[in-house]
Amino acid sequence: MINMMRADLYRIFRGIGIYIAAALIIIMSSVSIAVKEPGYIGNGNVSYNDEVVVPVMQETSSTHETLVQGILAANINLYYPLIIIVFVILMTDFSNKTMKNTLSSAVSKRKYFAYKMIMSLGFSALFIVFGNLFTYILNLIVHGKKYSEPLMDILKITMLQMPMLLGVVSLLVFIGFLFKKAAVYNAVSISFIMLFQIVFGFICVFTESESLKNFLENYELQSALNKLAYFPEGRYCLTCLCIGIAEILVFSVSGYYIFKKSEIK
Amino acid sequence: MREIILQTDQLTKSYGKFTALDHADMTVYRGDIYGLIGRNGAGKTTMMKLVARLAEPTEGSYSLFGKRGYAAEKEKRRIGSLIENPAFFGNLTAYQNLRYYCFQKGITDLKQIDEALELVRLTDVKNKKFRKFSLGMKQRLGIAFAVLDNPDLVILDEPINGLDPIGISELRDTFRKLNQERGITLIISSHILSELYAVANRFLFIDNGRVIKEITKQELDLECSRCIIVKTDDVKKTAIILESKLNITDYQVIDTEEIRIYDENAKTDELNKAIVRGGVNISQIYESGVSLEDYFKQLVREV
Amino acid sequence: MEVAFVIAILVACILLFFLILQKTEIKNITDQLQEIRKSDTNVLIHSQNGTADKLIDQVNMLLKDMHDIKTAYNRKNHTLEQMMTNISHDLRTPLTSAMGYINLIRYSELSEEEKGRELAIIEKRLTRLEELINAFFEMSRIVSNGKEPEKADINIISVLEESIVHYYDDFSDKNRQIIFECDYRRLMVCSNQEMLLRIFDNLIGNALKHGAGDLTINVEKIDEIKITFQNELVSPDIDIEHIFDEFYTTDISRTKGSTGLGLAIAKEFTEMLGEKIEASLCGDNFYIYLILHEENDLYCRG
Repeated sequence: MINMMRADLYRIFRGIGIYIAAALIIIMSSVSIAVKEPGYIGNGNVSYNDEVVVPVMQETSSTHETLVQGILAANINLYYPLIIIVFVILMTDFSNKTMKNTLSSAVSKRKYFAYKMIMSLGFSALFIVFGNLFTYILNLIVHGKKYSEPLMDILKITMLQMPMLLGVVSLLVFIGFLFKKAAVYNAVSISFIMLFQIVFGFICVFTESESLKNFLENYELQSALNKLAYFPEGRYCLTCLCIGIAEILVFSVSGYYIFKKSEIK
Repeated sequence: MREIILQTDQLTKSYGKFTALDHADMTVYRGDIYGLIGRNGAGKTTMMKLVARLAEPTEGSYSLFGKRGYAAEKEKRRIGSLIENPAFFGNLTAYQNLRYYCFQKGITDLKQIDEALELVRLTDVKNKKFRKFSLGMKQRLGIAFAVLDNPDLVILDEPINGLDPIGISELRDTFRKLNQERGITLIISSHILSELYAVANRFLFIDNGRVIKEITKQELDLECSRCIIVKTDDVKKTAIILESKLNITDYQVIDTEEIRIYDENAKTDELNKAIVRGGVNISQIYESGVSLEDYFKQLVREV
Repeated sequence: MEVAFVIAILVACILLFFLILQKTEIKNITDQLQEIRKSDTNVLIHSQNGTADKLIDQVNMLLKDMHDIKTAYNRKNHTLEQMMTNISHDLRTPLTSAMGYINLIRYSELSEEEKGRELAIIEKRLTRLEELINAFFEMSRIVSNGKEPEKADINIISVLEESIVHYYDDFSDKNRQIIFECDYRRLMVCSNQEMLLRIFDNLIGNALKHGAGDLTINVEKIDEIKITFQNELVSPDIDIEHIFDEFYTTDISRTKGSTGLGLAIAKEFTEMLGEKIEASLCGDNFYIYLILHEENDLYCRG
């Protein structure tokens, strides 16, 4: 499997996709730092979140909110570069139809799926770290030690946000294997996040159950990333970790099952 | 006898109601150049996909290098294949594409890339991006990929597609080279019988998913060649008459009632006269002989 | 403090990781070698994670060498087998012919003069048989030893003439002639006499069996010595590309007794002597060119 990942690394860095993803991250961070305000792609401050976020900020006054922290809280922005990363790792094999080359030479479907999933997760993890570190360093260069948390804290935030983000990556891989076509993957993944939030919003509006409402508000991706940037209590972090791991497991198993059953074009 | 590389046993593949391959039996020996002949959609590609494990059979089984089932999975690495259209990464060059697969397969000696490119005569375009390739070049890169890893068996799906006559002739030489110098067994499919006839030594005729006939080249020659068929009640006497009176030695006794004369100069009326005069009764005498295409058409019609 | 600790753990993990990788790779190589030794295969060893590439390269080179040796051995065997077939066929011909003549003498009423003539023919056939047997032993030694054929200074014209004499009667029996166009009485080459004789025998014999009309043999010398064998075709249906392939023959029913080996052996021997042979078609005529390079000082070195 290591060899297959080396092969994909060789290929990815000779394509353009990966550099676009990196550029996206760099631009977003730079703009945020330049303007001294964190920005979101897509939904702005979703209104129903306000009541939840503000009290948290007030409670944990030991951590003052810094610019960098704010930017990291907006890490939902990373969703779009992650789409590109999974696309470059996985979907190019579908669009070029090169999968049959790999599968016909001593690589079973199981190994193939596993290595794509692991590579997507691993590479995304590196990219997330890269994104966050870049923000920190750029801020250091531009603004000095102002506006920023110490490095250890930045790394901590990264660790906290990682499970949820990787959960999303596994979802993207699942979407890829499900639809098999690059164009459909693009359409579904880009609109997915907004669709998701709309559906959640609907449920919140129409449901009677308080606990469900609470759950959705606290653990929806955008708000979760937001909260995690402000060092919430341990239980919350643990739950997020579990959700992330659960997502990875569910999407891995179901994705593999779908892949096994499908015909190779 | 010779080692059996591939043997299928009632191999069947159905997509819903449509049966792409219907209980096919096929045997390929080591060192064969095996030709799969059939019209478009006859089931050749399906057969190849099943053998290369790109699809699972609905019924039946096959053995690769004598192994079945899971053990056959490990033998996959002795196979190189080009099935359907050659697929590579457009933004990489020919060399880079093969390098990518070297990584994937774990090939450590990069000289093999150059050797493969040389074999298919793509050395001078090795740094050209794949998306700029012509159809013939894409085809050749596909073949280079199939032989990249020193396989024992190479499966090629219509490799002649898109090649000009010179390319086809060069490809024929390449096949022969692979077969004789490297000892590689080849399975090649095509719908053009005359092309396969020039290289292959055994053939499988497929139509509508069913195997019509499996035949060696010698047998095919015998069935197709122009001859005069004589049916008599005394073949031995007829043979003597042929040799002594007519000086014909180019004939073959098929069974107790039939002799086929292959001599080019033999004429039906002369034969008739001489044999009858020699005291033998002729029940039938007629000319036969088919071109390869006609032979195939006949086979298909008979089913 | 904390930082140093974390970094130390990280480094330890990485080292452990590489150690595991290397162990797996060695196991992988061992397994693959086992498989390869069991079966007769072309495949070489694959690396699994790139940690032992140099070792794999070396082992693969060994495997390739072994494979080349095997292939060469098989080809040698194959050539030997072919020669066996060719030999038994050719030995049978004069023998059968001689026996046919013996029967003729025994069972028909012939005058003393006629009998004498037939006996002379029998003697000729048997002498030919003896020559063939000697030649074959010489050649099987050459092929199986794989040594360079022994070369000596030879007058190629006299060898050619000898071969023509072998077949002269067979040609005239069919009302055909061998036309020898040559301005030289002597042309020296450094080569092997038995093999040259065999090559010419095969080429002329081939023209006898598969050609029609007269056979013209033309010798000319410009830089190299070029001997051209030309005859008409019986059927124009010849695949010139494959003409030197073993078993290529237009004799489908194989009743004419052609094995298709004659030209293949002629080519093999020509190449073993380091010379060239080519074939071509022009209209209804079939040409074979034998091209020998001439030694600069006309005689074998050393």
